[in-house]
Amino acid sequence: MMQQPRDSTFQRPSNEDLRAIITNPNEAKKLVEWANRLGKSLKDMGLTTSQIRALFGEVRQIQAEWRINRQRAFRRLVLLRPKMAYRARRERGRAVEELVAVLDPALNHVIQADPRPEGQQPGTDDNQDDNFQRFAEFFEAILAYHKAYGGQ
Amino acid sequence: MEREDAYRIALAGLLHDIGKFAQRTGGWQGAHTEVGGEFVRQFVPEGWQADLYPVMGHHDEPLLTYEAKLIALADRLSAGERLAAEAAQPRQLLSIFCSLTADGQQAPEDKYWPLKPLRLEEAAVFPDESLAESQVTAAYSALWRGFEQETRHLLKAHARAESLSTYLESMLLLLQRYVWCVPSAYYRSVPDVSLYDHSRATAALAVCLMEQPETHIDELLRALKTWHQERAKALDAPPPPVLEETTVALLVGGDISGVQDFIYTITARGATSALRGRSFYLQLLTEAVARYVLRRLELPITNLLYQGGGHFYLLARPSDSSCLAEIRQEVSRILLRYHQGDLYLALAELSLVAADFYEGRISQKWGALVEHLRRAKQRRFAELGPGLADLFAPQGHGGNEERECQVCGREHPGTRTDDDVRKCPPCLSYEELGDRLRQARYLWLTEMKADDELGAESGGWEEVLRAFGLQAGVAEELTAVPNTGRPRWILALEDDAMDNLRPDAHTVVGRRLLVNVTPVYGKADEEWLGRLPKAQQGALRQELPQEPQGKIKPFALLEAQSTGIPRLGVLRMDVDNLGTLFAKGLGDQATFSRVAALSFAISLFFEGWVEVLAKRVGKTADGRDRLYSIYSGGDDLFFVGSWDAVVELARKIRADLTRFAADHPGVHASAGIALVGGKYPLYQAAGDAGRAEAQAKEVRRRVNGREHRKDGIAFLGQAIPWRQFGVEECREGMETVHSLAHWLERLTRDEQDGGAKAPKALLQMLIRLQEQYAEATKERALLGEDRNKAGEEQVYYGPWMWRGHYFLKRMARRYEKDDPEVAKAVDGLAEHLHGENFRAIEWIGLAARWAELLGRDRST
Repeated sequence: MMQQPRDSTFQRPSNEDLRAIITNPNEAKKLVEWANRLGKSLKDMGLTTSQIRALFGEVRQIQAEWRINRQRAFRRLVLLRPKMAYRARRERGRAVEELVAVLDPALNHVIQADPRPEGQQPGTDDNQDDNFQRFAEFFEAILAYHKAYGGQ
Repeated sequence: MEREDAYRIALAGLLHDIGKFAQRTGGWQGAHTEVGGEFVRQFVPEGWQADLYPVMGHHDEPLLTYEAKLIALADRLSAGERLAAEAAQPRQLLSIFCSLTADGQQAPEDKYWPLKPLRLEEAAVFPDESLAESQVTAAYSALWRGFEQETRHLLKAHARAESLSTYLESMLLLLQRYVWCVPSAYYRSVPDVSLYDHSRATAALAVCLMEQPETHIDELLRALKTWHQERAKALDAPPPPVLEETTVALLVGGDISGVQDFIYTITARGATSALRGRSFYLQLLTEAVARYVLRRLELPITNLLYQGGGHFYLLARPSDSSCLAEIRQEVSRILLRYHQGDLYLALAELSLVAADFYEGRISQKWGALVEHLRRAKQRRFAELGPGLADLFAPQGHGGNEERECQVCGREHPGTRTDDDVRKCPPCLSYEELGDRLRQARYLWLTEMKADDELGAESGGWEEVLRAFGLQAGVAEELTAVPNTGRPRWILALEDDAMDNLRPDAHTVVGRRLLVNVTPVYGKADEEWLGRLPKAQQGALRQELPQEPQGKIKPFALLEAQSTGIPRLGVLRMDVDNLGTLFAKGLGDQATFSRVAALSFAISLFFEGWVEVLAKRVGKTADGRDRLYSIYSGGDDLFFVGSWDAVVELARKIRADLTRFAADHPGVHASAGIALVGGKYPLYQAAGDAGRAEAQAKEVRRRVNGREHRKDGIAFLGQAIPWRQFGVEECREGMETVHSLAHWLERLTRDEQDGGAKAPKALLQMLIRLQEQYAEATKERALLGEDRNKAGEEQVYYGPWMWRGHYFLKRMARRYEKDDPEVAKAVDGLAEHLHGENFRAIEWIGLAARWAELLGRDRST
């Protein structure tokens, strides 16, 4: 179910949808659809890339580190939550706040999951490793659509 | 004389229903047997009229003569059912494809062959909606006028009734031209068998039935009658035992094996003309062997059901079996002697009992014969017994370099140097044949005694044919055709060449379908070369033979004349599931005539229409020919040429095959295209194209829950369904690989060449996106997650979607100010792909690579 929009232009995915996007490998369609919608709304709200460049950069770095030192990468991931909260408050306008309001619960689905069991293939159902990949993709997709709709 | 008797019966069989054709012009009154009798009186030389009583009498009750009974029985077996009532006349011939079930589907609507003489013209060859009632009679009358005129020529030529065999074959070819589109009758209320196919099948069967004594023919006719009465009460009434016990004919198949190696395993030196010559020689060899078998068995030409592309099928008498065993040995001995085991003829036979002609059983028999042939091929030369040892005896002296041919690698005492290359006499003879073919308008054949003039052994193709009692050649002008006084055939290779032909008492004339597309060096090529930069021009001129005018263009030139990147394209293509089409497609509707009709239709396309397409597609606006047919016949083809022309040809063939097959969704073909350099060994290119074709046959797609197999093309290493590749006329767009490739090519072309000068990086980006997708797909398939629970392939959502959208949008924006056209186009592409859920990701890279090759600067 979709939550009530805070204002007329912005719709957020429900927690159910977010869970699906992050934990279910077969819900990529939902991921793309929501990323598209969010990208467009955020552009309309005036989000600029520079406002969140640092956050996305951090996610990319964590992605790179994940394979090398999983423990440290996970620690950085947990610390991403306060960083996001800080950004949401600091930046002007409501756009970053809205974005973080989506990303934070999404990130929570990563942090709370158990690591992928030994012997299981990448890309499987609800586990920390794959959920994180999907989280990173989700973030990337939102930004790609934001840019595609003309976001600066 | 038994031989003469067979010809008489064959002629009676061939003409037994000619009255039906005459009747439909509206100008002849009476039952078709009476009209047929009148036709015989007016148009058949007097000397043979008495033999044609069965034309009038084959429906009499009771049947009056032995001959009439033979024709009546053959007529019924060929039609595979009780004789239809005379009351209603079918108007037009329903396309045989409309009776076909393939891929579990049928043609969407009934289509009819036009009522026109057989010519390779759009209006004659493609089936269409049926004509209005008022047009039908006029069409029949026009068709009949042509037939009548030709028949008069034939009558005049044979006024003295000297050579029945010549007359019979001329008549057969006449019927093929004029009666191929005339329906014979309603069989099971479907008029899909032509009078031509039904008549020749009846003729063939009647000859085979001559072995049965009259009392036995009576018995069979009675049994058929009884069975039909019983079936009227209970559909599944079993046939009376006599129909199951009487062998009425042998179905004989011949199949030359070793063809692939024979054609392709030659070096590139002198390959261009040798290749065509070798391929054509195989066709002549098939014909020579088929006619040899007929002659040895004293069977008329009407007993040859099909010949072409290394195969033939004929109908023989039950007692011919032992003679066939001898013939098998003779043929093998000759082939072994001249080809040292490279070529082999598998000859197999199968007995047919009377009941085999009913309830679709004939298709299974046909399938069984093909299986026999396959097994015979696995025991090549086994029939030679002790003579087989020759195969393993050392050949040549070994290591005599000056005697080793640089084209085929064999040693031959007559090897000599030609154009700086050492060639053996057989290879030289193939080259010469290939060269002569390029301007050929006629093919001529003459019969000779098999042992005539066998002496000096050069081993050239002409000698091999002579060993089978046939002399053959091609000519551009009729005056060049030798007249030896012996029976001969002159066959026009083009429709127009047909108009100059007149039969005489010893000359059979007719049309022979042969895909003969040869790129010849001409004025347009000279001018084209003259426009090239000096260095490139010089390099290409070195590849040309001395005095290139009128000679076959070397591969290097075809390669250089490609659009975009210079490459030679090699195309192999064939009809999907052909065996199943024949064995199961007609179901229990399969009759002897129907199987013949299907086989005729498929060869009409591949031996006839493909030539028209190739000539059209191969020619550039300034008159250069860029396509070269190595082989096209039966149901498959092999073409070489400038790569972009080869791709367009494949598309055109695929598109027209559907139209030709009455839009039947289950009749389709797969193609493989390999791009190679002009000096790449051809046998490897043939192998590459063959593997590409195999890859195309692996194509699967799902539409409305139904899986479709094959019907694909493999190009640039990727196999894709034709539907997605695009078979439509050339236009730009985003719907198919083809339309997108052309659109992208123009978009990225330079402005002075009429392009929009979009960055080439666009192509690179699309290619990379697809690569990303392909990699992810591979992984997903490993996990078995590429299908949903219903087993259907799913759209795969992934990073390429947002990344592609992002890249395209960004690129569009960058061009907004300086080049609004590019910006708009790229933006449109982004929107289109997005709207389609990026489904094009599976082929977008292929389109981009295609565009890239098309736009590749020639100098790099």
